[in-house]
Amino acid sequence: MTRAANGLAAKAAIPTADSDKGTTADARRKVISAARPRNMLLRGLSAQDFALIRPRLERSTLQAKDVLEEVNGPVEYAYFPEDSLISVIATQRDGKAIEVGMVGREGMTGTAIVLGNGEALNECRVQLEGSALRIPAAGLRELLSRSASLHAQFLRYMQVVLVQATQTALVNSHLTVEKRLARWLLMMHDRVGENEFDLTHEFLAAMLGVRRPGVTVALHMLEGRHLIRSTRSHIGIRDRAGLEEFVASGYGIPEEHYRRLFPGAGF
Amino acid sequence: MPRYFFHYRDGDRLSEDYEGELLPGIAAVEETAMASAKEIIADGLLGGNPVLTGYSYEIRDEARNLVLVFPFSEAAEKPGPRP
Repeated sequence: MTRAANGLAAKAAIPTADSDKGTTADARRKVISAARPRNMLLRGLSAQDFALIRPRLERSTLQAKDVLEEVNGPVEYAYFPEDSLISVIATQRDGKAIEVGMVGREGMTGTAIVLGNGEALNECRVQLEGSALRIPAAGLRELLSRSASLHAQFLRYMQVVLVQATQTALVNSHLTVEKRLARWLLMMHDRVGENEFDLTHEFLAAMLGVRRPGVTVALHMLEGRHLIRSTRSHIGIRDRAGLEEFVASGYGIPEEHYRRLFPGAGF
Repeated sequence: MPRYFFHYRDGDRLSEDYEGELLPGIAAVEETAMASAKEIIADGLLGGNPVLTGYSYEIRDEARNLVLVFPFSEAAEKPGPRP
């Protein structure tokens, strides 16, 4: 299955957990099912903590390019992606930007809320459309003050966010664009669980911090190694193990960190 | 602004740029090609590869007319904008 980024494809209706279970009449009420959540961070909560947060959550459909947080702007909601993907983007004062993290079904946005501050640290922009559960900032703040274990769980995830940003800084200075692209595809695959993506070269160029024509070159090289298939704006992973071998030590530290901190998450 | 397509030629293999880029004219096309080629050559060198001078961009307009062939060797030899 392919989902679109950057508004390339028609918006498909996204089934909710409720409609999956056949209670379609309730889907519009945004009642979040008590069943196992699709977001791994929520799934890892204790039954008590999930019962605490569940009534405050609502399902939201995210469109590619939606900006969820603006640098220094107020954070209105924390989002827990189910099958959407969100980019965390650092921006220079002159407008130059580069991606420093990505959040999918394993994580959450709203770093500033969890860290006890009201303003966004970086920009959060939707990369792949899909659904997410969200909770208003005030509601989350209240719950964090009520449950130390809930706060601890989300703070553990913030360690992963930090490791992801520092590892991205490392690879941006040590890896070639081709390897960074390979790493990026692996990370995306980990966070949405799909093999194929619709991505524009313009978008990839912004994520990797290169001129747009260079993306064609990097894709050409990865394709020449038989690791991916690239046609128009469509990229498919052909050989995941090969990509990992190619990126070698440049990939996997944030993911290992996550698995250590959340061993039962199924990540 | 017209849209220009930066196809990448590697010997017999041509990777098509299906997306293209809006640019004001030929001067901007050449500047983009130069900056991008410099970036790729520099990146290749840092990756331990030899200078990729045998490659080129073949830039076409929306009517598929060839606008410019930009060999990467030009980016290795001539000054240009910082990527």
